[in-house]
Amino acid sequence: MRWLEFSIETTHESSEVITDFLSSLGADGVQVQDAEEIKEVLMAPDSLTYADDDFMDNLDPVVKIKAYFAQFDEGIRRNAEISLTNAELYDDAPKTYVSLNELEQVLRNKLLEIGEFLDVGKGYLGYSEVHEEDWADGWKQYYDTTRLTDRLIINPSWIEYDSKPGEIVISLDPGSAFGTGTHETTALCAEFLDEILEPEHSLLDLGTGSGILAIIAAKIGCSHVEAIDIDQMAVDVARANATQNNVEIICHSGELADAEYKQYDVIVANIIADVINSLAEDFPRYMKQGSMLITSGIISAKADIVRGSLAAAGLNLIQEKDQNDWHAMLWQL
Amino acid sequence: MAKKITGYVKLQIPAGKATPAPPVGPALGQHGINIAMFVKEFNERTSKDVGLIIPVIITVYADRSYSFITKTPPVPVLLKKACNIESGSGKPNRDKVAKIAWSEVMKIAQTKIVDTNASDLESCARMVAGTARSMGIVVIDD
Repeated sequence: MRWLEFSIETTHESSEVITDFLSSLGADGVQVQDAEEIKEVLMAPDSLTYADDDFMDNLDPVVKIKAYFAQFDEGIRRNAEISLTNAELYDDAPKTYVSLNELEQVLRNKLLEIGEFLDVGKGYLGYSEVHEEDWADGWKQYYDTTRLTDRLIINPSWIEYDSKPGEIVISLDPGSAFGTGTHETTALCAEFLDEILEPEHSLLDLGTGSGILAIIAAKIGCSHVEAIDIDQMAVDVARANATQNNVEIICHSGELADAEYKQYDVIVANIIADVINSLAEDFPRYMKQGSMLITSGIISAKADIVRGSLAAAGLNLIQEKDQNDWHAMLWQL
Repeated sequence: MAKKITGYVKLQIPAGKATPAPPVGPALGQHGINIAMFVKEFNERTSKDVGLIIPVIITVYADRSYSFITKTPPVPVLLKKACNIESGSGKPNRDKVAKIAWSEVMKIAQTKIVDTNASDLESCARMVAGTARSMGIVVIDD
């Protein structure tokens, strides 16, 4: 199978009318790179997403559209004239085949027409051929077995791993919840957990994501392991990952206030500095004398604020670790 | 979890019927995203809208995990629905296919605002009106 990838450079205001036209024309799908869209995600009031200055500075103000048309021996497949601009019928629309020149001409004409009403920018830039690849499995090349500590290993399900005596292997596939073990914030928490957890401990993982830290605790043998996330999708993923690792974890959606138990031996909160600060006074209510709190997801610039707010809440800083601008702290009540 | 963003992708793909073929494969593959899982989750979450093209924004995090949100239909689709027409004009500068009142334009802008967290209703409405005109829809004052 081959596809033709049409490239268009345009503006935010013209983006949707152009992509709608491409879809109705019969493109198999459209990809859009529009910085405005990601800014909206970042500025959402409840966003826990963090972008550094480099990322923001490199956002391209130009909107880039790529549309893919399947190529056959008969020509390029497009929707027949009848549903030319009817995106809702797109899927079942009758197909017809046209030459590359014809399709380019239709697109150019349309852009000129839209250009009379909206700023279309540079418009159509050209096309390139895309050949079939193993997209379904190609992404796996980015993952390998990850050693978090001497005994904690994260292993994707498609890799065979021969564990040595004493090693704790967590089977985890990357997916739609944060926590594949490869990021500093997760790795630093795993180090702390490995150092302080005892089998009889109770643990709360606040902002569990993929459930990786809760699973580590359960594998070490903790008695009561609870994992909470504000995102129901993450809760579902964490639950599935717990099952995959044959461990029992109480997973539910919510916030710190929804925690079931009131006196955890260990709480791990790998979230972001602002959220940790807002919870500083609440943490002690879910701990007992001697309980530990691990806070992570803190960038250097905000480490001082976190140190201050948790100390003010009566917690003692026992140890701090950092890696590439990320700080994790171990506290005791 | 501290979700540090490293990339994002917006796609417009058929609800309930995404596959690893383009644009999904090339767009997500370069970020090292679990494509099989994305396709499965997207199709599950959009199965009730089969037949519609759904805009979806995928956010990629530093550990190659991701999240995605589906958006309201694109403005042209909302305009066609509001005007009860199946298609825009093939010659929008000459052949007008429908009329839309400014109050309707504002309503569509309002929908978009909720969807995008944008704050400037006026500029959003101007964009909707421009899109309408580019489809051969005449915008009239109430």
